[in-house]
Amino acid sequence: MTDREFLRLALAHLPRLLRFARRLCGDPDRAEDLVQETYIRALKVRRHLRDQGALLPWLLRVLHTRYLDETRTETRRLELLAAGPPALPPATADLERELLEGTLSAEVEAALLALPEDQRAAILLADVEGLSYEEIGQVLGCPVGTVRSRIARARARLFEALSATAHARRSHRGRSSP
Amino acid sequence: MNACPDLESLSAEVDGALPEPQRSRLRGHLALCETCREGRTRLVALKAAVRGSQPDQHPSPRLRERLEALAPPGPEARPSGSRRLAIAVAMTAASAGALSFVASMVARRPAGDGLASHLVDDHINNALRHDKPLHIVSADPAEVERWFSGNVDFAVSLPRLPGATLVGGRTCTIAGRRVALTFYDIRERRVSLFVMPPEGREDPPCTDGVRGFSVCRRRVHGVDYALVGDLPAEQARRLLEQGL
Repeated sequence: MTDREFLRLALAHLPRLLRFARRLCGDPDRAEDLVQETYIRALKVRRHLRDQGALLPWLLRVLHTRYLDETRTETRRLELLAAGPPALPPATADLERELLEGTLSAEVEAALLALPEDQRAAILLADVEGLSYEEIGQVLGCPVGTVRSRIARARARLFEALSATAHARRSHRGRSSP
Repeated sequence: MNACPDLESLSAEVDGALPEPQRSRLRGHLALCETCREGRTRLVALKAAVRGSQPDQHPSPRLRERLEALAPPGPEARPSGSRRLAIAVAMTAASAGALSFVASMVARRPAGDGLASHLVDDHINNALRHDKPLHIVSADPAEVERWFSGNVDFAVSLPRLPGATLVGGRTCTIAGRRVALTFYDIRERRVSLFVMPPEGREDPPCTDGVRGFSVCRRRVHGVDYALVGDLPAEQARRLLEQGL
């Protein structure tokens, strides 16, 4: 397969790579740079791709590795050590309704960006890209059990953050109403 | 399953990632436990909210062009024997007038058009794909200039591009001449700066339309400087202007 043929196959996944990059880093310009670097890197190391059918997870892995190279910090490791078993905070009917109605998009995006990177990547790959836990494990280079734990932790944190936001909004509305 | 499942199991079930027989046990529990059913409903709502939290971003035309340029199509396949014969006959039959028309069209192509394309090719292969190694690695412009003095047949004087860090350089061939090709990093972008004897028209307008890359050229003291990268053409123009 020539570089051109490989590129043509890889470009079929461009929208999904860009979507993942955009949500991973939260910046459209940076996402385009990240995607460009991903394709450059992919062309260089494409001989390592063993299964053509797994091109998308492989490209996502190249992208994620590149992103980590740029952003790796000590805080990420500390997060893993400090985290306890995940649990859902108490239910609030308003929050569920707002989630279902899609009125919390900005809050959800902000809460996603505040997640530790490994949790953010895992939940994005599951919920946005619809990858199986096995495929997410391939992208992130970790066992399925770790994927499962990261996604559950991410969801617990998102609920915590969104509950706090919803509570603050209700308090604000209560104060400002006559 | 009597005890309520942990969040990991519930979350995996929502993703369809809980293996049997845990999945059947959990579903049996959900049928009896309202608290866990509510928890599952919240997880489903959250999953939908994460999926819909942002509209999809469409790749910009520039990004597409730059990616396509990473592996450009090769030369078209040679025509088959019978097609070659037909083409030869057609060429022989072509009138002198038609040939002179073609010649005039070629002559009217803007000078330097092919040059910009060539510069972008070299930028992609050297600065982005790193197909060829650097001959000199140094952030010191004086050291890089000294190295070029023994490797190209004209004096190379490197500009101090504001906000850019010199990485090094190598020689390459443009229009049959050996020229200096240097690389700078601007934040995390790598740009190529070609330093070469005058070629084509002087100071053509900067463009960012060469397969998604910007090309900006300036002639100073009889030497052409061409800055090539994926930065906006206006930024490239300002960099060159301030640096030279």
